[in-house]
Amino acid sequence: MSEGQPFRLAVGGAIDRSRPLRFTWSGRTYTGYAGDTLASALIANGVKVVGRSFKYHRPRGLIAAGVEESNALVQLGEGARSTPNIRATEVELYEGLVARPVNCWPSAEFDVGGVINLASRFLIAGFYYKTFMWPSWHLFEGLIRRMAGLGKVAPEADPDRYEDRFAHFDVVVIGAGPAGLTAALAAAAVGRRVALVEQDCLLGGSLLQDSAIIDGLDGDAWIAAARETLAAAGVTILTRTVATGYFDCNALALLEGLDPGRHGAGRPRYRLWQVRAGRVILATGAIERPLVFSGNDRPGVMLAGAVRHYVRRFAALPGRRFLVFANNDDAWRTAEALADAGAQVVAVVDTRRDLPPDCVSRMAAREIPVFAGAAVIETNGYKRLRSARVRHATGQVTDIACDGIAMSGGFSPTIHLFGQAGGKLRYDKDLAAFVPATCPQAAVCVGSAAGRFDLADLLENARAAGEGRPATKPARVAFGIQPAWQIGGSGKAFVDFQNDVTAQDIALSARESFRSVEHLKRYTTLGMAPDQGKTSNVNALAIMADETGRTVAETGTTRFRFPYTPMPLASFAGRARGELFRPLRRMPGHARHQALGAVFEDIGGYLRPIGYPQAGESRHDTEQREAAAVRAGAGLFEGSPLGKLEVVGRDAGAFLDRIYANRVSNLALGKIRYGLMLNELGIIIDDGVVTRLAEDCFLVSTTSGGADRIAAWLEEWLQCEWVDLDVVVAPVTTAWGVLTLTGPHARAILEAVGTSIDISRASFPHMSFRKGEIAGMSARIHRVSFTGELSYEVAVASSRVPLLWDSLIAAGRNRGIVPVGLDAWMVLRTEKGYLHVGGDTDGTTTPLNVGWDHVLKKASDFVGRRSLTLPHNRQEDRLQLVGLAADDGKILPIGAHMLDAAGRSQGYVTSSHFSPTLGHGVALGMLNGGARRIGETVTLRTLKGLERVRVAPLCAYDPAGDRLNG
Amino acid sequence: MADLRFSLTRHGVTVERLAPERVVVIRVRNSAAAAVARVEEVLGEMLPTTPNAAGAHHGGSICWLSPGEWMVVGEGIDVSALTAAIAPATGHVADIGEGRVRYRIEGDFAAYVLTKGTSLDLAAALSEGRCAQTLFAQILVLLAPYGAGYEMTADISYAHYLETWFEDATREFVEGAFAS
Repeated sequence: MSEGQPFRLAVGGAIDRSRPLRFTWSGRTYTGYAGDTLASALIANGVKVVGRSFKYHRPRGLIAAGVEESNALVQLGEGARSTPNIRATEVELYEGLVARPVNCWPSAEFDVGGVINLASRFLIAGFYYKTFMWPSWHLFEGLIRRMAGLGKVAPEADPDRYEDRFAHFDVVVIGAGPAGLTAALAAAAVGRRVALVEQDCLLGGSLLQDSAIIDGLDGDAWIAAARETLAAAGVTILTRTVATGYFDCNALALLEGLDPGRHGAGRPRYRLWQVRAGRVILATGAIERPLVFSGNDRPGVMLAGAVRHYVRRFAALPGRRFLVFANNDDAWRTAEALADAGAQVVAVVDTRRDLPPDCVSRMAAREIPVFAGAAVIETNGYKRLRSARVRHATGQVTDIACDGIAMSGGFSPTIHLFGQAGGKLRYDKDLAAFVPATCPQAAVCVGSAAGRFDLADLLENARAAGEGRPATKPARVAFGIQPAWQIGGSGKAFVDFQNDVTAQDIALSARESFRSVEHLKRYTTLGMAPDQGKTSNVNALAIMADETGRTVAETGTTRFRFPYTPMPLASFAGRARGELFRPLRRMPGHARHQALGAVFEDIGGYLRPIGYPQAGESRHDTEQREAAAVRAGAGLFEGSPLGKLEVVGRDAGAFLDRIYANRVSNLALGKIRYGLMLNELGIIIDDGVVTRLAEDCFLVSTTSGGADRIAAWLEEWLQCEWVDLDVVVAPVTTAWGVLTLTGPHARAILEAVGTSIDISRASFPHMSFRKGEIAGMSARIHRVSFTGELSYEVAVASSRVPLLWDSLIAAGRNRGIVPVGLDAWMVLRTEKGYLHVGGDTDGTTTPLNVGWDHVLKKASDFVGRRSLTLPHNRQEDRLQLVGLAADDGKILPIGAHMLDAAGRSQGYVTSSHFSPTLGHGVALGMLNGGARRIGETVTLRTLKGLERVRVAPLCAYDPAGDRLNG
Repeated sequence: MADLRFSLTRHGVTVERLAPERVVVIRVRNSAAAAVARVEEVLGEMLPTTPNAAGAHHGGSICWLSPGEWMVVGEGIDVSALTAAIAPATGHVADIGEGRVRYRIEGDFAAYVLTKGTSLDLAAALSEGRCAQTLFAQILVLLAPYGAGYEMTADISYAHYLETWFEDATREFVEGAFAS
């Protein structure tokens, strides 16, 4: 026996005794070896209790060796890396590993919550539903929430990196046991692009515990040769990778664990693969079932295959005096493995009366007593198994001292992914298990996942699957089994260890008419949580079948859902965190704004300056200063994201007449018109200006957020509805950068930088367009305004924006120019009563809500017109956009509702600011019948109480437009 | 300008932002045959009609974008000659080089880096003579093979985002730390 590892065998196992690893479990330091899992290292160190059960806080030991482990849920790691509910059987040991059990305090050995077990006879299925109904669930909720739940999530941000990628393969083989390896070899041999996916860190599957000769080689040699052949053929071999999801069109989710114990320092922890496969071969193996007998959760009671796995692969002995309890031949191999490893096998207890003679003689050779037609009906011990009470075929009952029971109730093919793929199952009586039947996707099960346990048979079948040939022969029966779903006994007989569901709970569920397997699951919590019923599903529904007088097949199974095993949420996010969470666009002048200390926000997907604060300014101060500066001198604003679509063709005018609610085709050359675009429901989807560049060419400006959306909208109408129209649409948005110069000094500044265009008021009036040179750059200029001041929107080649910015700022320095952010921009347009689509409008706003009743008189048809004629849209008291002013001049809260005498809403505030120029608050809002109520005073409900506001005209500043046209 | 340069070298992969080039998108309504022929004459190359086909053009490239729509990259493209060639058919020549950014991704892990951003099967979609417009790292890009590597064309407003993305995506490509 090894130093400090009293249950470690001196020889054997796939562990490296020259590389000891220290780890901390529940505060104590232990040593294991490279090649161990946390579970095998705990077994080697003689740790029996690894956790407490979920509901009753009963002491629990390891039951399994793989993903199906339902007891040993651990909190792994410390601090920000602390991760709850990791199965100890899936954790590769590494130097310095720190873990502790979940669901117990202060330790698994001594757990205060264990007192709950004393009251366990009251904690029956549906306990919560029955007990906490009166007087109110909420009275108990807080306490129960604190007591419930498994593990703790680290409150810090996850410091690790998570990678993701896509991949395509002709064939994906999931599971690298003998069947999976054979299928992968066969697929690679016929030239397919193959991926082989294995959840373990080693290839081999069952060969890691059971010796076999394949192709004349022993298991280890055959695995090594297979690996070499696959690598040479370019097969992608993914170990430590769990296939967690199987979706439509052969899409798979694979979670690859990376660098156990070495993540951090920029190394990724997991990689999520999204894979599209031509064919999927599921070699996922089978999961052994427990036997359901009283006291079957005592630490020391384990699945027989798992016991063999620990002994053979890890040279770790789960006990020294074992009793084997089974209903099938397979478990007998565990008796041999234990005996060969030097453990004492006190008895083989088999529920079958007739035992296969060869099994019996193998035991006789090792002098192991065999009891046929017998069963373990009770176990003794608390934190450690002391003895098993056996009822013999004669009815006689004896206690047999033992510290371990290796149990086997048979095997359930791991058909979870097959089920996710939409596969249908069939109950196989010979195997006492559900096996895959048909699947709508290109998926096939091989090996024990297909119910094939005979080595020669499964290898031949897997080879055919790998080559893409159908399976020819039905599965050969490999071992004898006789179902023994319920053994009976006086105490709790557990079915679902993780959720503490007993055979008695299932019987109760049946008596209370929760008989459907889906009801059973919800009522008892069976098959929930991380475990998802890996060991319990088939036992549970067989017991339900018993209780309700149905066959197992009639009782059916629950649906298998993604994910097969729990996945870290961070693996879904992958690298899409922080700056990469969402792609943000930058404007051509970004560096200039940055240099000026702009504060940026995500507006319509662009990082845009909301303001350029000076030292000591609040956001409001900045907004007010910038807005006032525009009215007094000049402001410079970058509007590059404004959508720019060139619409050309003989029918361009006619097309735009249909797209805009107002008329476009009669626009004079070089003139600009403001327009609204509606959808078929008459709802405003965008606004902007349209410019006639030539007889057959228009430039459509969309809102900044609408550039891509409106381009697609125009294409949809052209390609699907009006294919006869002679029109082509060309989006050119980002080729041009736009700087808007606005304010009473705008013309002087433009003259100062030099321009080839006559920009005098008479020759370049408001709402017109010119092309020419500005500051030596070729430019397109719109004389339009969103501020109410004299404004020029100057578009130049994107890359020239910084130069133009510098020129305009330099020329404006003595004329009071300031850079202007969107905050001030919104103040200025609200003073003017200009509509902000998406701010003042929502998904119900039509032109008839914003004073555009005249569109109904338009001679030609347009998108949305018919909807506008609906009576609802034309009601006299419909919402109408109006100006609002508080008597005392304060800023009205956006979203506050105006109330009628009965306290019902009659509208709400949509935009609101303080006007530095006017010295009072200016606001816009939607008000029932508002257009005819200018001058009225209405009541506004705010968080502070009721306020009186005056209904005003939309435009609060320069209503005559003298400055605009200046 | 400094922020127009981007060059990234990691173990097995380089990503380089290409110097600005002329990029035009030619649109010919209904692929009017006579207009297409005149455009081809101006270009001195055939315009591919197979979806997602790509060809060469005087050291640059021509990519099929959609029916009657092509992107041509390269120096010496005469926009006004092309515009004139389309008439009297309806069409448009958009000179959009100022609105695009182009990258070249090369090295043994070039394809691997791209699979972190796109769900396309690169071996099938980007074989010689093919191109693809696809969602890449949440944005629309055009991908085309270039020698043993790839060229990517994206909207210039995403340049900073894409460069940040490439920096991050290639972090694991460190000698010895990565082997597949």
